[in-house]
Amino acid sequence: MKILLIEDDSETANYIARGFREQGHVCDVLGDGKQGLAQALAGGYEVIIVDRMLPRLEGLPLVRALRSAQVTTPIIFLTAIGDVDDRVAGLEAGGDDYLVKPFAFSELAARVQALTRRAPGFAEDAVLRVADLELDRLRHRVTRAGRPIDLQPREFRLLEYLMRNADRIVTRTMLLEHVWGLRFDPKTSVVETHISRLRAKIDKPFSTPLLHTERNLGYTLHAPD
Amino acid sequence: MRPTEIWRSTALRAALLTAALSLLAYLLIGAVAYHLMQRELLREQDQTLRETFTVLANAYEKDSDQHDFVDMLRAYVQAAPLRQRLFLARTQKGRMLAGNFTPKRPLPEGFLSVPGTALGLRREARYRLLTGRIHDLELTVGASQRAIDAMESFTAQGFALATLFLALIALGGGGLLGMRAQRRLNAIGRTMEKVAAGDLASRVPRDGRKNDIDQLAAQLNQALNHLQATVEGIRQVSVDIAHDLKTPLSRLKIRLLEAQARAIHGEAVSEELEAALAQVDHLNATFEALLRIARLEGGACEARFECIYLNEITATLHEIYAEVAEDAKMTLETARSTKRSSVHGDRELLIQLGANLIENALRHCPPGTRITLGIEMHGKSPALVVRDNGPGIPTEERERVLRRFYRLDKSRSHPGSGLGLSLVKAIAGFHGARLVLEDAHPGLKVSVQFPTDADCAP
Repeated sequence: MKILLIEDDSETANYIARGFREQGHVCDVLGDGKQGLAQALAGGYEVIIVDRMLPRLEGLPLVRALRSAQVTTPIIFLTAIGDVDDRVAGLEAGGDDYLVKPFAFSELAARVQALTRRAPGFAEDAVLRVADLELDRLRHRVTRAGRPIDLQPREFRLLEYLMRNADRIVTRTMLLEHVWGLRFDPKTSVVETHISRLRAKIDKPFSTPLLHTERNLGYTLHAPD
Repeated sequence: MRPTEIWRSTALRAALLTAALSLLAYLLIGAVAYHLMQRELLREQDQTLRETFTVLANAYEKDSDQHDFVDMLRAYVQAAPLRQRLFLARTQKGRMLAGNFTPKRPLPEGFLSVPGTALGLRREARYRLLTGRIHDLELTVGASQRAIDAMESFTAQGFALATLFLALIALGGGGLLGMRAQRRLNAIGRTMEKVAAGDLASRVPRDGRKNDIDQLAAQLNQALNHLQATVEGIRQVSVDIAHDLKTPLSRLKIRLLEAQARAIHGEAVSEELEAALAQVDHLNATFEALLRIARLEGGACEARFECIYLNEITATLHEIYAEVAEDAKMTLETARSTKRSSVHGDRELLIQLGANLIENALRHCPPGTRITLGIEMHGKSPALVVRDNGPGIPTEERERVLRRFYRLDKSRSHPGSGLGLSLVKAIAGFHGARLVLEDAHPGLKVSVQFPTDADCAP
């Protein structure tokens, strides 16, 4: 995957770029808004990561310029300010996701994965499948090995999100945002509680687990190897 | 204020200008009155002269003897007070028949005002003459204007004296009033200089007269109270922040130093690094919370406010936390409200508010606690209520727990930043709502009382 990173803090930029390169991606780094815009317009990127505060041209006008030039590449904003108003401003300017500093690389990587999966061309199937687990989005039904599983509405949405991002790491904050719509970090184990309840329903009665905890990173739903 | 600066005083200048204007008005009125009086006196004198002339003219009828008339006139002259009244009868050729003055020039017919010297009189006084023809005679009657002149000069002197007094009173009084106002303004100015120099406890002295300057002083003092409270709040918070961020920072440093020491000896350091990361996350969360509170208390925009049903908020909260509470061996009950009470607000913030209150109960209450979430109506104002039957908060601590970083001693061992309730208070304040902590006998009852919102009324 070819990723463009526009970030002026060289230490942060190096940390991110190194991470992507270790994953086998190509990551171009620019530390200046104007150069970044020119490079982004030159095209060929699958994801663009833009810092909100940049020299010469700030993140918001940069993204607006890209969007008005019909560039549809998914864009993730990086920011030091995690306020609702700033987030809304970022999304209105044409950003697809918003990540507040400081963050772990794994968080950014997971979000890039999720975004590129949803990029144009990705069809949303009515029925999601991982191994013998099936989720019917229209009929709101879940079965594993043909046996129906009864899920609470929130558990259903949790599983749906995990299945849509199957084989990818999904972080705790991504779950809070997309499954619960929470943009703050609850101090209690909201995610952990629901994951463990979900696990009890979809994994416990069966011999092979599908839902895995990735220590310090998040969760993945994947078929046994 | 130095003497040269005294004239820059607005109060003094206003007072003096008022004095000068009233003086000018008085002078104008005086001048008009003086002129009217003078005209009236002259008119009266002319009337008298005309009457005298007519009486004399009637006495000298066509057939009368000239000598008899001249004799009568002489009698008049002798009876007249000295130089007060003038008479003169001359032939048409100018020969004087009788009279008590000799004009140096021919007298025109009609009224004439002349100085006494022009009539061969030594007196400086002015005279008023009326000259006319009776048959073959030219008759002149006259009167001294001395009485009128005296009257006029007497009036003028009185008027001048009155003007002087008025000027003294107006200027002096105005000046005094102006100076007094200026002294009050100077006192305000001195207080403001002290405040600017950093003495925030300084206040404008009041004189209790309840006039405009005194009210200004009261308003300034009120603003200063607010300023002082704010600055002291900031000072307090800075100290708190320094204190509460220093602790995780020093723990972080210890962890990193330990990791470094272990790394030097080739030992595994992942445990130390994990602990260090947890400290960083804690620090970051504290900063985020502080920023949020600062933004909310700064009263950022309400552009995203919409009408929100409180029972939707409680339902969402219930869905998020019911099982979390169950895992903590507590119960979360949500009273199903049929009333769709709505408030004007921000959904995300209201959920965070409720979440913080529930998490507080989850963290500080023992297993077996029952947490209830509900909506109460106070008249038309709805309140979001979170109640628990846990240990509660002592009455004397209830105000303090709302402060930033304040934590009950017994909860120091629990995780948390001490900002949860401050954030709740900030969100409540942002919505114009009141945060009330009460005893739930046993336990704690927290109510967020929203204002009545006509726009969102169902």
